[in-house]
Amino acid sequence: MQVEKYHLKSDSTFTRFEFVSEGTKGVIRKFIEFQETNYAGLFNLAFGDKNSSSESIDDLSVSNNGDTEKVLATVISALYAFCDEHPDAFVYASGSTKARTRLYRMGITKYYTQVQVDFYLYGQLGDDFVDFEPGVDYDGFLAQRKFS
Amino acid sequence: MKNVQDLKKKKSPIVVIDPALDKHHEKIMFPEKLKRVNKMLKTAKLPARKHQS
Repeated sequence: MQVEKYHLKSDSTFTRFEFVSEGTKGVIRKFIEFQETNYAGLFNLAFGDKNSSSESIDDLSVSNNGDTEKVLATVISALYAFCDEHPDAFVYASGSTKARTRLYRMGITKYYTQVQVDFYLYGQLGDDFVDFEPGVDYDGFLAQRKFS
Repeated sequence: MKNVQDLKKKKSPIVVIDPALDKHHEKIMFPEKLKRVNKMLKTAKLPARKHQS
């Protein structure tokens, strides 16, 4: 994926990542967490803005920092790094709002050719997970890294 | 040892390990989101795993 990304910092388990978005509104710290769920081996991908003073995270904020594509590309690169360390993991992702889930879908669609090579990818429709197809409105996404 | 060409071809990013981020292990940063996903997983029909070590 030859697109510009931000530099990533990670914890020692590659489940928490941090990077700094630099755009029209200034500098915003972003935090990505791969959360272990009750389903063994399935992690939820969550990310949002990090408030430096309170160390809290806001996953509903709309930064409008003019770098959406670079931010999405950075989150996807964190997914690659996570999967290198957790090769069998399922990773689930959905937006905090329907609009954000749609944004994720557009991001996946944009890099679909590459994503398809590297991941088994499913779209969530209610309780069902089906093979991902561009253009379909899903409730969430599930991925497992392919290793050849 | 990897050369520049190898690194350019690599799909995974170069990640700097920051031990300061390990402090977040004690706290779930997006608890509501995790709660929602765990609830969804109770009834979800997940696909079969393609590989498992």
